[in-house]
Amino acid sequence: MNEREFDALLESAAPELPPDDVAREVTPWRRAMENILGGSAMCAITLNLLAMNYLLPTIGVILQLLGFRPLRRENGWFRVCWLLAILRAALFLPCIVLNATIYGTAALSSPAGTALTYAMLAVQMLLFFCFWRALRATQRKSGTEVRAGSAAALLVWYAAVLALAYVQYNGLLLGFAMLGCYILILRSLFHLSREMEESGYALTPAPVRLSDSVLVKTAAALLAVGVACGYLFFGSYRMDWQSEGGAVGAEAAELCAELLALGYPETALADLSEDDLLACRGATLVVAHEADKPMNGGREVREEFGSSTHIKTVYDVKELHFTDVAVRLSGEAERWRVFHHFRWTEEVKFRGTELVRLWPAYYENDSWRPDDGAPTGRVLYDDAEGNVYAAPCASLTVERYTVTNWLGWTYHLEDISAEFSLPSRGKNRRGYVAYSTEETDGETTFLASRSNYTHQESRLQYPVRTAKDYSGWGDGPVFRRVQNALQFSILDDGSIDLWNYEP
Amino acid sequence: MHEQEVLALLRARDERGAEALLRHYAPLMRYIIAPIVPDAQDREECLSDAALRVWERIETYDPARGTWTAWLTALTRNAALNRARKQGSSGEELSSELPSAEPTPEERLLQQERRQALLSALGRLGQKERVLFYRKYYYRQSTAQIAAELGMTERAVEGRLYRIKKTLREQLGGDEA
Repeated sequence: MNEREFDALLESAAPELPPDDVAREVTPWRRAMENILGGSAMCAITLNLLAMNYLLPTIGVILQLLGFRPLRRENGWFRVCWLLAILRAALFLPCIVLNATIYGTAALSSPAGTALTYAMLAVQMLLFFCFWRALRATQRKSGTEVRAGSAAALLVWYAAVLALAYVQYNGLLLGFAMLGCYILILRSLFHLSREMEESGYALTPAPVRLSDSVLVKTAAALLAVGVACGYLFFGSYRMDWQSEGGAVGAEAAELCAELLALGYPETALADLSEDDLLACRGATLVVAHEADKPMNGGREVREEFGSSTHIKTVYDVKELHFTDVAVRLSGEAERWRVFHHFRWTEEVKFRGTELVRLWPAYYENDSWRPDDGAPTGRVLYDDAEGNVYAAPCASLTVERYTVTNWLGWTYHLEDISAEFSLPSRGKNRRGYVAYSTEETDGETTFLASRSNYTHQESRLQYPVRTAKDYSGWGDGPVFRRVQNALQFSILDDGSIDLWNYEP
Repeated sequence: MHEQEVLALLRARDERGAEALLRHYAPLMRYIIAPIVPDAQDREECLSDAALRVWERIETYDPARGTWTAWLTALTRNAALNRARKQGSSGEELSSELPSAEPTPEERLLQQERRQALLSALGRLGQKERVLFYRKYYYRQSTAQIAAELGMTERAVEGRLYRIKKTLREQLGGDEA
């Protein structure tokens, strides 16, 4: 039997009645409508779990594209819907890739990022308006009853959400009410979809050059490649590594010798830039404190004390060596230049972003204030031949902010953040951050300067946050933080009493 | 107006039922007729024929045998096939009733055997493949129409239909089918 005869056989042998599921399925309308409604539902859901708040809207945006694509030639409103769906995808999908880079959080919280968020919401609202008009036009064309109130209700719902977001409403009551309304609207829309099937048969879907599956696979592949590139190539800072071959000037060399004589640890001193050496002119005293800190979870050890069990964490390896140095500078008032050095004594397993956040002497302490000049700092490493390379920090910023504690007291705080990435090559990775401070009241008896080192130890996060973006305390799944402090009392006779503080 | 209301009016021989039928179901009926009857004028006449037959034979609709949509689809399709055959003057008229026609006992037996075999083979296909089969061989939709409605390229539709036919040919007895 040839092909034509077999075709004829299939046509003649087809059952008299189509099965119910087939009769329900064969319509030009349902597939597009389900894509549109499913996409709209997913775009509106915010489920902060397993990155669902990114995954669902991504699927939603693509479904809306697939839904409006075959209807683009049906009427003018559907055509506008299709163009708006493209625009929304063009605005939203790059953000998914941007979020896989360390620049995502900063970019999206910038004024431009905020404008982008509002633009996407506006496009979404416009899309619903056009969708509502398109439904009415379709019903008019088919001569069926004109009802598309659910789509209009969805538009109103989005406007209400936008208004609540604008006033930064955080209450639960209205939130639950909005969620309830949204579920009712979606239910109504799917019900409308069924009713619209009467008029939906009048639709003529436009042919496509790329099938839905190819379009979805292409979009998924582009997103996957973009996200992978973001993780691989934009997961750490670009550091400007330069060889440290040149000798320092005569004055700096002389100061270096003076500081060494005053007790500045030699290995840490060798890391100072010429400018930092010169900033120590008039040094009269050096206070140094060294400590090793673990950058790992350690292991639990159980100790039995009679009937009770004491569980403690033991750190077999302490990867970070801190050298904290305060240099007293000459002058009537107390003036100090404080250096917080760090050095990795073990191989760094993951190279992402790092942060050294200093809580300087004037942090929560009005007895001190910042001295002239901006904080300084840099990162260094040695290559296999022992040559030293150094790079400035990716960013070194002073941040001032006001906090109110639970008693209602308000503090004005100022800290120093140094962001950088460690080199993927070489050894002896290290660096320091420094600042100057002077006393305010002439009766200062205590100086405390703390450094908080945040290390990224994994890539497993979305959206990508930098060590600075990580706001949690303690150890998270991606970041680990240790604190070190230099604290000493200045006695009446001018001598120093160093505290061996172990936070 | 809901389906049950339209049916009640039709069964009550209320003329508002005929109006409601056309108002609510003309798009569906046109959708069924369009791939089978190429001429626009013929399609409108065919729509009138089909609507008249629904009016005349509404009592034969048995919800136990299938949904209203399936029944209306089958009746409209038969009307369209009859019109197409008349236009092509190539065959006998199909029955406008369900089940159709009064073939000879031998023809009926052969047709039943084929249908049983095909139904059995279709039952082994996946849902998507089954819908594709019906679109092509029952609704007589063109590859272009199927492709546009399913968001596929024509080539992809042809490829899937080829695989479906190959499967059916194997299940219906290989080359002898």
